[in-house]
Amino acid sequence: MMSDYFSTVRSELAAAVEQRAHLPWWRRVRLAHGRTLAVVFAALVIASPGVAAVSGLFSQGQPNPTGPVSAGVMNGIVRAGDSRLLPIKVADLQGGPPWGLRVVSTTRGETCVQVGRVQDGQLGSLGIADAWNNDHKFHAISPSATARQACGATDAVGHGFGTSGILGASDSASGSAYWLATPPALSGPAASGCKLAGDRGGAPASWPTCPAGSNRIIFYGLLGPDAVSVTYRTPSGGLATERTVRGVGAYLLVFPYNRTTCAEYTRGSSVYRGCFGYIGSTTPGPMMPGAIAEVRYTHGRSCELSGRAQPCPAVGWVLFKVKHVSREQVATAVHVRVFPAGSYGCPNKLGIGCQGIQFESPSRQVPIEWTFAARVAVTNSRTSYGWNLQVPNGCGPVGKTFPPTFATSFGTDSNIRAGQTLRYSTFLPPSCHGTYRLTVQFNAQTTDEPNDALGGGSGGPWNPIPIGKASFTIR
Amino acid sequence: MGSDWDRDAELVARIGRGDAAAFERVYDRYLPLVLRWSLRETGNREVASDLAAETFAAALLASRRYRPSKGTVGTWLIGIARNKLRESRRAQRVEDSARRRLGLEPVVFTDEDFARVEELISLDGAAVGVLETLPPTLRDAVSLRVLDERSYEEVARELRCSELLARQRVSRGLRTMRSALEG
Repeated sequence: MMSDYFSTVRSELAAAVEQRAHLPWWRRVRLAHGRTLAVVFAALVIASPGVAAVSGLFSQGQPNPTGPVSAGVMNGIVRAGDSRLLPIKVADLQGGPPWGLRVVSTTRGETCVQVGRVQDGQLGSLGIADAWNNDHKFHAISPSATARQACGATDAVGHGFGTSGILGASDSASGSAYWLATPPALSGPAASGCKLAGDRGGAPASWPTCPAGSNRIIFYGLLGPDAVSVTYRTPSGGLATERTVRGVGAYLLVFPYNRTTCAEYTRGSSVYRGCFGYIGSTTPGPMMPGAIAEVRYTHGRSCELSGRAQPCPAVGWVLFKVKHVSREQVATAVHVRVFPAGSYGCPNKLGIGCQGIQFESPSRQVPIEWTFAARVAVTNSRTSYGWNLQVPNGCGPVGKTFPPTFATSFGTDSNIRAGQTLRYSTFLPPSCHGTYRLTVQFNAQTTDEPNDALGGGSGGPWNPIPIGKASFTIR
Repeated sequence: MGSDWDRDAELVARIGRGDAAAFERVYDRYLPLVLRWSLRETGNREVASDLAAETFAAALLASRRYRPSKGTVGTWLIGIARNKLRESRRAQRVEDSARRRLGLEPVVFTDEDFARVEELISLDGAAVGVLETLPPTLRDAVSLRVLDERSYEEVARELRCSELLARQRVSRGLRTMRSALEG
């Protein structure tokens, strides 16, 4: 018989059982409570083999900071009791707490998935690979720490659908590759991390290059209540099958990050280039790089990705009862005001929204402001107001006449009360003369099928209903 | 209450009365479960093995306090493992107080043991059923190595093949079993 670790432990413990049987009862009790001087003494001379293998153990550190969140803006906040750590754990290549997933439902009707390391029933990041100043602690992530892109489509009864990938993720479950999946911390030890050698712009320049072997390719998502399993391509080119989590169809795949895996898992995608950052779509499809070769569903249904031109259907999607909105119900007057060039920039002192538009020289731009009354309330992320600006003939293109960040259309991303007056602004180049035509729209979900937009979105497709128009001239 | 449950509860009671054979049966039966759980939680085979050893040492000390009415032996053991892991994380080293109380010497974990972890976590009740469905050459190799705890040299001698082929058969058998269990 061989004598390995486990058989040695077995025989030593069995011997201890016999020895204890011969001790007087009072001695057995004292042993069980561990108060004898001899035992304390023994503690000083016996070194546990675990001392040399602490890499799997992380003490509790401070939690990840959560950015500002509001119930009515962007994703909203996590609904009480609607955060669930899924029973799925994937070991990391270098040990430590396993990888896991958490699903949260939000006040704006989103279903979002968070990925990280799991310890003591919590999802978090680790103080390794230059994250958290290498404190070797576990840092819990708040359920509210969810970026927009981490939220997939959600059907009428709350089933989430979405497939995501993080290429070049740090094994700390923190850092620049996560910034589109989890909002980054802006300061403090949580803001520390490492960057990939090829990362241009994703991470601060001051961050050190990630330690060799510390990066991962992670694919995860929700395939709906009917999904049973995913068959995926392994780094060696073979196929393997994993069961998905019952009820939500969750899967989680963690691979090493190297030339071979990058080539394997970005192969065939016409959309994504390079091997870095966050990617996502509603269902697995040919445009989306990834490892999934086939999804199997209940009742023998399946979707094979090979040779497929369209994304897999959202099997199990429960249709919305779409409330159709007529143009008459939402029609409103739009008022436009043109300010003198350079009268304000962005950020401004007038309390006018800047919509994230940044100008290199705002003082030279012409501020435009428009207002309108919203007649129909917006209470979730499936509905919004937006605008579209048609520029004069001969103006453009964006990046030349207009600043590179100029947007000719925009949609709201927060709840809006019926009757609320909305005020928006943009900035136009003074050199672009002529008549501009502004159309304000109500973006309502008009069909009950899931959309296939890359990234977020809770339903769709949307059909913009023009609710008001205005024109103005810059001379 | 099923017969397995009764039988295992009785085994734990016998451990409390100093029955070493009863301990060995509980250990053999539940080591794969405890090891699999520990590996899933720690992601490190050496730490998981250390934690499993400490769990069984603590179970030995607490055997008289086990109450079948509060759960199965498996649940009880995982509860102990969970507590031990929590204490270990606080201390940032694998808790070993139960083994120290029993006066046990630390056991060295070798490279061979890394492979042994993989073998052990493949073993549980369902796995034994799947084992029977393997082709005879693979089934015999897995049985000798995993159930009978024979060395590869002994497996090879028994099966009249090279040691390399014995290793391949065990590996293929375990892989097939894992696919069957997860498929």
